Amino acid sequence: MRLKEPLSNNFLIRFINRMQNRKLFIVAVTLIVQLLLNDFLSFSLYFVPALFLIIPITLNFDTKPWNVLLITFLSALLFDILSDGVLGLYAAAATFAAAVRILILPLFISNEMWGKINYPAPQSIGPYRFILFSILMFSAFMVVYIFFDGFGIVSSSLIIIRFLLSVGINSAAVFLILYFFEKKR
Amino acid sequence: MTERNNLIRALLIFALFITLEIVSIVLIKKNSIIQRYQISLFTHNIKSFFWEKNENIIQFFKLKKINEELADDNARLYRLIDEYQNILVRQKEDQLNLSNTYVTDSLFISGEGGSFDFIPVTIIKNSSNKQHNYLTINKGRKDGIEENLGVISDRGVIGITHAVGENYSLILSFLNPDQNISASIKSSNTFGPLSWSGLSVNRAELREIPLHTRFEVGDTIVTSGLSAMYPSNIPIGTIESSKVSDGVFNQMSIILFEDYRSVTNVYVVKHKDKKMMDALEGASLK
Repeated sequence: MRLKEPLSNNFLIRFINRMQNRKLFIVAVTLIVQLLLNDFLSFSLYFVPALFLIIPITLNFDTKPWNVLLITFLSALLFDILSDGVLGLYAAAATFAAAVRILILPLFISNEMWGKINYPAPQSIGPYRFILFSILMFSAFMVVYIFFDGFGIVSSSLIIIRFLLSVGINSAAVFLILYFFEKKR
Repeated sequence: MTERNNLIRALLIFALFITLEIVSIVLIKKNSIIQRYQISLFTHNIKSFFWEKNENIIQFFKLKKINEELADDNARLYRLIDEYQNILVRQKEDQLNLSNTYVTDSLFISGEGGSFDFIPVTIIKNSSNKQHNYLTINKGRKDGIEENLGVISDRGVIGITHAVGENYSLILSFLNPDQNISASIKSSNTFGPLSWSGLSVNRAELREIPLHTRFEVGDTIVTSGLSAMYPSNIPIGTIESSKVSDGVFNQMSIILFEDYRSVTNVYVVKHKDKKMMDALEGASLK
């Protein structure tokens, strides 16, 4: 007798598998989560939600560098406008992270990984490499973000805690999102 | 040839990166809320409409709590009126010569004969989880709101109006580390700049209090009334602790009365002689 999968799990996996563009779905869901986090949840000041960085992280391996910069800048600027923050803050930080991506991505790709997933994900470049890649991306983002947001105003201990928590939580979240959604491919 | 092309391409990418960073930095530097408001005026108006509807629904379910708060506020106001009346009676009895300033400042809360007008507004969008926080209120220029007016509640200072639309206004929250207000220790009348600590939503720092000033932990901090933006004697918080700063001043940690995460009903305060004072300040700056 064949055991049935739990209904919710079964439905979700079938739904995701049927999606024409799975990455688009992942990014859309993440962006909605980011907007909800910004608007409705009262986070402590020790953590900056930056899940929208999944956009430059998951751009295809062969995306042209200027496209990486422009797409990241425009998407971050959109988030600046939609979230009630300082206009240009996300844009400055994300553009720097995009520049770092252009520099470091060649270090993370090799010929054998070019399979179904043609962008950085735990399944394409390996989980450990992906974690390192996203930590570097979020670190670059947070350095610029903290510099413009509160450098010289807030204490150094807060800056360190904010940096470590933000990089850690955001990297873990992006890893889990991509790992979960690409698991059944 | 290929190497040269690669170099040119790398330089172009670098130039694009620098350009985008400069654009971002200019935006950050010029982040006048007015500019921001102009950029997103259209989206903001639509969003404000929905936030207001959303707030109406939330308010409906909060009515019981709001009624209780209003009853508490009323009681407190009655006590205040009583207190002020007693002061007036005592002073009349002592036949002291009251200055007009004292009377008008003390009676601001009556709304008549005082120095300030109070415009009750509702906060329809609130952020308190960032280093730079903003609020949106449901009234704008057509209700008499202008730029650079103080916003208060009965439990503290909320912020300053920065961008005013026809129907909605954007408030620069007190929860911005670079925003200072003049506050004083109620028991000694010693004043100093008060700003948000940036560490916790309910804590601020009062600085530049001379070492000889007498105070105790738990003393109340109020607005000093030294600017035209806020009336005097609005309770802000209590002293939690203090430490010596720069060898000559006390720096105090203040626990704020207001819960910035749940505040909804506030007042925009408008000094009746604001235009005259602005003109004077403008003339003196020239």
